[in-house]
Amino acid sequence: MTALLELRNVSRSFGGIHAIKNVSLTIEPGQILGLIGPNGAGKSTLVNVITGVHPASSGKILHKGDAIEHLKPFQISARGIARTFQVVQPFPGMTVVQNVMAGAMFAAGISSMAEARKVAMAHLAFTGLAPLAERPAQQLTLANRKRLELAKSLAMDPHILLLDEVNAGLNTTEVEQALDLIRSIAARGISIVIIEHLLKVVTGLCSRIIVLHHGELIADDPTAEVMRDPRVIEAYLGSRFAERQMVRP
Amino acid sequence: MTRLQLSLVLVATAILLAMPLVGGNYVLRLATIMLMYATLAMAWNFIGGFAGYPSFGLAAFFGLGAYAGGVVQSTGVSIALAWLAAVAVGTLFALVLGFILLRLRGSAFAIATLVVTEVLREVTNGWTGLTGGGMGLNLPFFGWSPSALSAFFFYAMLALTAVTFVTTFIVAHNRLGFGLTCIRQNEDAANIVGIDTTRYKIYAFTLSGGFAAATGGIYASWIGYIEPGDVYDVLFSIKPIVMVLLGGMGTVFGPIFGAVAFLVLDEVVWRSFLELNTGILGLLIVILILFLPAGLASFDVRSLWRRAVTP
Amino acid sequence: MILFQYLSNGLILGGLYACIAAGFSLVWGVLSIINLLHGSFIVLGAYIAFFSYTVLGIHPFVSVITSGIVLGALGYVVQLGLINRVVAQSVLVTLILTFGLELIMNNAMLVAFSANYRKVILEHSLGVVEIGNIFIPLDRAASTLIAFLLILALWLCLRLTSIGRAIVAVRFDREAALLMGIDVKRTYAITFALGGAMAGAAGSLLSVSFPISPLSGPLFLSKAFVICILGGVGSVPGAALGGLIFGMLESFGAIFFGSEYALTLSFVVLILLLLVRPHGLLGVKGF
Repeated sequence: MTALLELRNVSRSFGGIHAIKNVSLTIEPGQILGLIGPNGAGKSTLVNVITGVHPASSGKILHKGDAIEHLKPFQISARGIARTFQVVQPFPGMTVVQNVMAGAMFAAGISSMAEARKVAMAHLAFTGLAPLAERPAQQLTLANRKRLELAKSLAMDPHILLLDEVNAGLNTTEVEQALDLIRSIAARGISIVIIEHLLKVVTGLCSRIIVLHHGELIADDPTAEVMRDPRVIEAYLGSRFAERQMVRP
Repeated sequence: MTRLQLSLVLVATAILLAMPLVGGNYVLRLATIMLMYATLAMAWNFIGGFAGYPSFGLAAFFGLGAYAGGVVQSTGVSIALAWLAAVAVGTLFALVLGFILLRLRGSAFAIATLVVTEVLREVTNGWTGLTGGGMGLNLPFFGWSPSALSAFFFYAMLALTAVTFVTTFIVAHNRLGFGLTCIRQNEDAANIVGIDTTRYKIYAFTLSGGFAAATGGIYASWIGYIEPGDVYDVLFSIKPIVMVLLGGMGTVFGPIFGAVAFLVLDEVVWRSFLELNTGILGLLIVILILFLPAGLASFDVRSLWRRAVTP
Repeated sequence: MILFQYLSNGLILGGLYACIAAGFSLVWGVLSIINLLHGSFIVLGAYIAFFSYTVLGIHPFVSVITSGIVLGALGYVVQLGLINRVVAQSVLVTLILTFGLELIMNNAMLVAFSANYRKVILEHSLGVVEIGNIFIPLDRAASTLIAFLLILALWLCLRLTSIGRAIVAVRFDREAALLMGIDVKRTYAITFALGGAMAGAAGSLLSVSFPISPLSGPLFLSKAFVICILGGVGSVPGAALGGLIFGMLESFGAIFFGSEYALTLSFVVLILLLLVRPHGLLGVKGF
């Protein structure tokens, strides 16, 4: 069976700096993957390369068997690969519902504005933002802006969703709510790759974890094994933390 | 469209259609100029207002249309064909130029479009064989009476303004307008959300260039004599921008209201100061920018204005 | 050989063009403002030199200092009083503002000086020297030399003085500069003043070799723009390099196309450059 998304020896350099080196991995339908690594490990770069924001310096990226490494961002979005930004990127002057309509109209290809609005409202309801539909996007709290970003991505009708530090800046309650939302998204059959610093999120949510360090992939295993992997522990976790995490049920 | 807007449109249309019958040549001439600037303002609005790309090159297309139309007309061909030539040349040039220049953002784009105007003027000036160079281009006269001519060109400009308006309306209410607005507000997000930003920007730029060129074509035939310095005048780039700033960027009615407001001010205030004409225009612009950040909507008629202007 | 004559012409022109562009480039790089007044600043500098010479007998090279001071002060006041209010807003707004100001200034100069071209005719011209087969008009050569000295002075100022380094800091990262306690508003004003001073000085230098009129303002502006794109915006060495290249282009272009097509030719080069190397020849790094 062809993997949903496959990366083969993907590298990306900026000038002399190798942001990611020889990364190979596959993503299957219905998985929730964690992508972890210290700051500067290349996690965001990887997402940028997959979504076409930066072209890969070398390597291949295959989506359902088709090569996509040379496609532009809008083409990759249309194929069903969506992402959220670490620093949220709304359309500030537009209302919440209009923001989501943008996703429906373009990436999901809905040509009628009325139809797009209906779809947008449905996604707003799903993410709990329906009461705020007519608010200008710039008036939203940070937590709601993150939800808006999610709703917009969902409106793009993706089957792969890349979440870049979606919990940054949220308090504990907000993080819990965000996790519930992510689980319900996964329940719809969408594969999710979540870049995270909060390890409790990653261990609680993901069945499989990918670890990047200095641009290289140093682990790609089920969660429990990654937590025990000495290279990962050394690079990122610290042994005492790993032990503490393993004790929890 | 709201009821208020629809009634405004109907009243305005009625007045305009009746004008040649009730107005004298002077009024008609004024109205024709107003229509011309309204069209130019709407033309700029596609790329500057909707897409948010500050093009300072409207005069380039205006001049190009004037000369394309003028040169074709001088060969003796019908005026309609001349005007078609103007539109064709303007649109094609916009397509090519847009493809090259729209990769630039912000200031670089603005000044690059400004320089294009200068370059076209230089080239037109030098190509004496085709354009008459600095001696100008004389356009054949129909042999109609002055009032018939005034009425003819008034209706021609009115037709163009109507077409531009309808196009603006359609664009504002469909995917293209929505996409352009997204591009204006956050181009990176627009890319990610699935908008082919390059293509959309080129559409906007081409619409802007095509309509400006059409206006130039009609202008050339109307005035009867054009020189490179007349039509490749940076003021044809700047005034429409000021009008749109005045009336409301990226809206359907804003450019028209802005054009009317600007030209009324023009007639009333500084026709009397011939020598200081441009200086006073400059002063108005400075005041507009520094003290009226939302254009005319900055005044107390704010909510009424906004209701009137946003579809 | 005639090639060397054109080279020499190009070099001399290049120096003057570099001076025209340096101040413009600095303002653009630091404030992100394209100063449409720049052309008129140059023209005013030229007029100061013209009148200083015809009325007071002061040589234009000395006027370089006076026009530098006058235009520097003017730039400082305009920036602090007017432009500063919109400096954070969109490119459209700042461009339209400087355009409005330029209309006022241009109109004022037209009324004050009329559109007629004036020429500084030096009583004691340095004459022309012949080296090999190359004719070098010494007044122009001296202008170019002074132009290069001015650019060097500007560059040194940016590197060595504290205000210079504040300007560089603001250019690279405004937020960080603020956090370091740099008075960004004052830095902007000084940058604009420096831009004005360079323009005024350039104008005085130009007055020796070229006729002056308020009508030439826009042309200087266009050329300054092209030079900035050639050399990299915000970079003083870039402006120097861009100016030299532009001077060469104009000199050699005159052979094939005639001098009226100078701007067209440079624009074509510009477009090619934008497609191939959008950050200019020296890139973002050259400062």
